[in-house]
Amino acid sequence: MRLRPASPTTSPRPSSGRRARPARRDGRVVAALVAVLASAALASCAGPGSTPSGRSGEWVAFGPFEKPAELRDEPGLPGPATVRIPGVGTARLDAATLLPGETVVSEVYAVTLNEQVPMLAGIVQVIGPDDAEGDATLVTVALGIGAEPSPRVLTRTTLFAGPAHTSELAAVSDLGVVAVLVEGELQPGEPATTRTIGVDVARGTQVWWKDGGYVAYGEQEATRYVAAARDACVESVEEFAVASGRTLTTRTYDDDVCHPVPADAAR
Amino acid sequence: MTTAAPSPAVDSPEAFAADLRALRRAAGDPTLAALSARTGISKSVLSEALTGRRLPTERTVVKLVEAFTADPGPWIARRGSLGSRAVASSATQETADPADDGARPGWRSRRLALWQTLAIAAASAALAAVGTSAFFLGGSHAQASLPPGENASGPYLAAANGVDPMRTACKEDAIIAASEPRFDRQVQVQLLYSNDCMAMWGRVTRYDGASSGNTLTMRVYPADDPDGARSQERSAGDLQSIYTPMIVEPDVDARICGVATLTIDGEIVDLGPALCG
Repeated sequence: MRLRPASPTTSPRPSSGRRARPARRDGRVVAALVAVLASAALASCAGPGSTPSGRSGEWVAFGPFEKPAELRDEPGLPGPATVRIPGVGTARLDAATLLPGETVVSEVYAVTLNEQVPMLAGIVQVIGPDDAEGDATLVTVALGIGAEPSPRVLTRTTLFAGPAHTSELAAVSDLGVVAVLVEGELQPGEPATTRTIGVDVARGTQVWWKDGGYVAYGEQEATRYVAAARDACVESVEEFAVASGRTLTTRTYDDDVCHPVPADAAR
Repeated sequence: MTTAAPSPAVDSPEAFAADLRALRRAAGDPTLAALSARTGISKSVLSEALTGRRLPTERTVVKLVEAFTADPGPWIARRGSLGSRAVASSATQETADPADDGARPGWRSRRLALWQTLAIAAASAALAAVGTSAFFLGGSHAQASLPPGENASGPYLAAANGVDPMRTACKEDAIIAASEPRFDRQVQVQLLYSNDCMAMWGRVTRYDGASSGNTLTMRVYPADDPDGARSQERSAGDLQSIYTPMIVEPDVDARICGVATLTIDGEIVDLGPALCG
């Protein structure tokens, strides 16, 4: 079974409620609380889309499931949110419930398949334990979630744990793998950079990763624009298979024209 | 420099990690990268050991403490004391660094008493004899004599050679002991390990979207006895991912290896050299 194609009106990047507000590295617990509060504030500013529950009464396709119609322009489903599962009813996706006892900073959900069975993927940021230096950490995890009336976590895979960073849903496949773009100080003492990670949420394992660049959202296949920064000129463009991370095509710009990173890959 | 492991009255993995950090500072506070280069242990494993996220294994403790030019003996004893108190806790499988041999806080020590080892061996023999791997769709060494569907339902089975790991509690604490992409990155060949069961099994997953009409096969075997009766194999069609039956291996120094193949339009593709862990 293949996932349904994206809505023609789908915008590749959401604009709110799904990127974590980073904790300041030196602020320890205070910074962590700031991050949570800032995230909550950001979510509240985003209006009804931040806590979608289908209040309008309309639903749109979300893979084999349905999500509130007001989120039709989002490739994923920012949480907490309600999803409709055919034959089951509605189910509440709330990372605070899925991960009891953890402080959730951000959450977004996607759909994939475990063999032929549809399931949900959650990209969640939580406050982690202090690092060896006593600084607060942020942890991005990918959850494999059973599509049931009371969704439950089937797998949990840590994608990155460290200082302030953001995480975005970058692409999905119907082979259990979703791609997540992580951006921040990924190597201690080095400048902020990006890493796109393919994680198989059906089996709870990281499959591939690509360092650098910005990914335009895609299903089954996606495009990565390699550039030093979001506002820098693109050096090359790679199309890749989301499930395996395998490069399908590569195009290198060797002219004198500055090709910007497309807006849909840089938000 | 401190060479003995402090041993507080009420010890915990967190206190253990805090004392490791103190030892690190006393050793000049080397960076994780430097420690990783010195010990051959990944930075993520070292970080988890130093932050207390996981109770490090004995091997990690030895290498880490030696890197701090201290005597690992007292630290090993203390680590063993912590490990033997704990109980298994994880309910989900979490991806591990392929080099990650760390145990989470609360995990039991891997070493067993003699009676436990013998009990496992006896259980292995008994269960292998009746061939409890009939759950599998494909063939394994123990499957031929089984009534179909024997393991299709019911409570967890005991860990034993030839048993489907998904029918045991072993899956609850499984970590990925080794993992490599093969076939132009379109396939992942992996070995999974359960510390609680001291069992290992293989998994092969294809990401080429060509499961339909094709077959996956994987065989796992003890490195020192590749063709022995303990080796396990599974082959199945129309699936994206398969597990092998498990091999119980109480010997902490023994290695288990796995080899896999797949088919594409009926043609068998060898997925490369053995993966061992």
